[in-house]
Amino acid sequence: MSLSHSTDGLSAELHSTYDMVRAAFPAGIPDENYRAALLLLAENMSQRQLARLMAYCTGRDYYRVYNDVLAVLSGQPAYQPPDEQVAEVRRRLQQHGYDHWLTEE
Amino acid sequence: MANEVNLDACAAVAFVAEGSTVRHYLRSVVSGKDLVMTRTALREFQGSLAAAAGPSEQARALRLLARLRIIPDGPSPRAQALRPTNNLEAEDIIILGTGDALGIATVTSDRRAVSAARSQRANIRVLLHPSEPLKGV
Repeated sequence: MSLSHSTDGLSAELHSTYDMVRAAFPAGIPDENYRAALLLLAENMSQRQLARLMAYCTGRDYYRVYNDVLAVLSGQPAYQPPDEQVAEVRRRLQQHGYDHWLTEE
Repeated sequence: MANEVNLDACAAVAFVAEGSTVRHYLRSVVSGKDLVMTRTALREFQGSLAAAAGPSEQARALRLLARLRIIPDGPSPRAQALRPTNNLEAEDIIILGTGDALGIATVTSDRRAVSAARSQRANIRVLLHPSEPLKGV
């Protein structure tokens, strides 16, 4: 699912984060990068905001994404993305302002 | 009223999840207290159950819901003044803010939302717990 330039239906406060994710993944977030993206974006998003954003970006059901957020944040090994996926997603996000984004409120 | 706690949807999920690693902790936290849940949190909890719960978790959820008193959304004035950000969603404000209006703690795993409210000078009472997902069992 490629990511649209439009942010229709997305809360205004999420627009800049969506723009960063779209720049990092213009063709959409591959399934193998999904949990790594949740883990990294959770560094500066509430659980619901993260679920809203990722449901919007991936077309997945909001409540399933919300449960995936809880899973990744649980720290339980079964739900953690592989280190190499985290590194790849971090690198892609960093090319589009992730480090600055982490400092935003 | 001071003997009540307000359950966020994530806390209810952690209560009913199969093999929950935090259920024992949550039981100790709410022991001797009456449980309330806002309509917004209830809607989220029910949505989560429909999407991701298995039969055992559904059965546990029914038992939990029978213990809860559902209350209307009614965030405090200081919560209503909060500005949504990446770390604070409108529904976070409703759920945390309703507990605030009632003068009771909200049980939640969403540290970011709580910190975001506090950074906007709303020092909302919470009982934080680790996250726990539904397993589909």
